[in-house]
Amino acid sequence: MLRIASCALLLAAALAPTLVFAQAYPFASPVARTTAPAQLDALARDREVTERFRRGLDAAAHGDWRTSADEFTRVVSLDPAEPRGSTARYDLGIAQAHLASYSAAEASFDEALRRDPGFAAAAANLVETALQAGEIARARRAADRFVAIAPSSLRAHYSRGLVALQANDLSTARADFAALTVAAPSYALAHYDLAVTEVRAGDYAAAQNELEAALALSPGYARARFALATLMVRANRSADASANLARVIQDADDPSLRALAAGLRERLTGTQQ
Amino acid sequence: MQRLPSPAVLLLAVLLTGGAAAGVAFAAVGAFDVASLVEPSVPAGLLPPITIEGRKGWACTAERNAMATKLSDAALPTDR
Repeated sequence: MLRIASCALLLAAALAPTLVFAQAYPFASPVARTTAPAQLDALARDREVTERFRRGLDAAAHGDWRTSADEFTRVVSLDPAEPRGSTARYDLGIAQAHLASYSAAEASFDEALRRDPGFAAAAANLVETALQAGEIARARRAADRFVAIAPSSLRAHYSRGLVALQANDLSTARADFAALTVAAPSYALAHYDLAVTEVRAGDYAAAQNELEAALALSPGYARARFALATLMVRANRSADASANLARVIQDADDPSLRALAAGLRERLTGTQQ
Repeated sequence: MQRLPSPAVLLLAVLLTGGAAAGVAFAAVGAFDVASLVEPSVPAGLLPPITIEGRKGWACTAERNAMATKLSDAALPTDR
């Protein structure tokens, strides 16, 4: 009995390095159990798709968008079935957007959506890419599509509200930002953007209410405080405006906002800041 | 190699730009132009890549961000 146990122990010790060695290849594919050329070809393609996905995502994680784009371009050329086809086009679109190839990126997100019409992330990135390209009309169409895919999505309303504001479609902007304030009452930016919409519409009282709501949620929100100060300047409340501008200069991370606040306060008080 | 402007020059440019923008707002005849000074918040930005498994399932961060109805899941810009 003891001899059998010793033999088993020796055998286990002898096999241990082999087991450890085998674990060093986590991505090893199983050996093909066919000799049919069509099946072997399909297996080879599948392995290449898997490997290139891994490399493309790894490159994206390191900010190497050129390599990522090359890997996903090759995956797309291999035309994998869903969900890989739409996912590869989505990932390719991200790399292309980072390379400032906006038209190509839009085409990739568009094709991802054609293959998978419910792909909300592709719709979201299509809006962002069109905005980055300065294509407001295309961004608007993409934003409408995003809202249609995900009517309750906070991001969909945020994105379409911003696009509508850029296109001066104030009623859509107001509706989207108002929906956002209802769905996410603690989100100060929704109140701020609603205030910007009201400023453009000339409803300064409504704008002030929204800015006060934003600042109640986030007292250090310098851009909202700056906007409130401009409303006070307009209403000839110079002392209140000056006090708020002083707080903006103290709170703002953005140097251009600090400079803007300082310039405005200087004009109000007539003193060098 | 092209030299970058010094931090002092950059700061002066920012201050002059701020002063000029404030001046433009005051220059509007008869009224202070609030709309010229108040800008919307920044766009939400691109959602991250998706793995080979695709967008299905809660494990897909990008799709979760895109569909989110809760602020904590939406990856929207913050108020800074």
